[in-house]
Amino acid sequence: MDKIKILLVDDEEDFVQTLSERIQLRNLDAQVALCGEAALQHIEKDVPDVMVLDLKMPGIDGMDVLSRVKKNHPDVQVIILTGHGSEKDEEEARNLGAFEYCQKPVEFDILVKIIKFAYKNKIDTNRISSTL
Amino acid sequence: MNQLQDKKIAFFGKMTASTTHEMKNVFAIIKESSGLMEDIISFTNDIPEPAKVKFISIIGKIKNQIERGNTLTQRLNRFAHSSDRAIDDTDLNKIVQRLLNMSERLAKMKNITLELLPAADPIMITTKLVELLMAQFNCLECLFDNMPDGGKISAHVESLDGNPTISFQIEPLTSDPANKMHNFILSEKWSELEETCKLLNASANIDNNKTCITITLPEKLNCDIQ
Repeated sequence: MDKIKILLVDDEEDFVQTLSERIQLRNLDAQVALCGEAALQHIEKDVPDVMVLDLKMPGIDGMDVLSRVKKNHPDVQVIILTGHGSEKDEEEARNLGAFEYCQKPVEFDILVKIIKFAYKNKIDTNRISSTL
Repeated sequence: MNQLQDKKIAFFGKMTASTTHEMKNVFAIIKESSGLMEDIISFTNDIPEPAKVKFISIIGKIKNQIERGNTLTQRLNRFAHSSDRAIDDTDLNKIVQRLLNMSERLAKMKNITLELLPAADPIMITTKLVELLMAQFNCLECLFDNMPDGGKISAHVESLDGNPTISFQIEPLTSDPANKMHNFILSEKWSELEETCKLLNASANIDNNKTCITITLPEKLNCDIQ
């Protein structure tokens, strides 16, 4: 399996850098964006397989990022990881195409499993599309 | 309570909820940082074994406290959101659990255990959530003041003759329950409870054994009640 390309998007730099280090220790590729704008710019240059996205960020919020990513890069699997979320947020995120919705703090091993499932979902979806 | 009172409460709730959201981020950072330490320890061969064991033990304590902090923060967050709307829908089981969670520390100071005996099915009510939490707390305060340290208070949620009710029962019985319970009827806290129940269009009663306070609520609060 190719190394999964992950983009972590969160304005809490300490959190997202530490998460990135832990993910990379598990032989996955993890890049970091500290705001929605930076995430959207990053995607234009280097499309990730999976995005782990916070909701409440200064500037463009996570829901807006999710909407734009699914519109312009529908293959990207987006996992919401938020400290804020409500049931209403979860419903909205899933309706916009989020693969999964998680609350902080999350069990790291569970997050890695979800990332791998999300990547598998991407591969399976592409495979089905190419046979149609 | 009038609209300004409701807004005051909502303000406190909003500020508290906002801060608890930030605290979640803090715990997330600590959790990942301790996780990274664990990763480095397990991937590194140079650390002497006794030091490794010690580090892992310390990280274990950090993780336990993270869980504890996270639980407390979640409870405070849910409590804070109780004031989002002046009148709202809720499952009576959930709001009683919310109050018991928030009162745990105070009960622990008297070595009292709080236990929820929920209704088998959700009991949905429309009411003033903050005032309902206050009324429940008034009941607990009455009971705390009139039972010895130790023992248990059970909160029994049920629907009696179509009316949602919460019954707070003390166990074990005090040596002189009738006298103690009679005493607090005359107390300020009982007056507060009665006043709060009026705002809910509810009633508070003590059973014949004088060991149980029951709040009986309407299923849907009349919005005209101020």
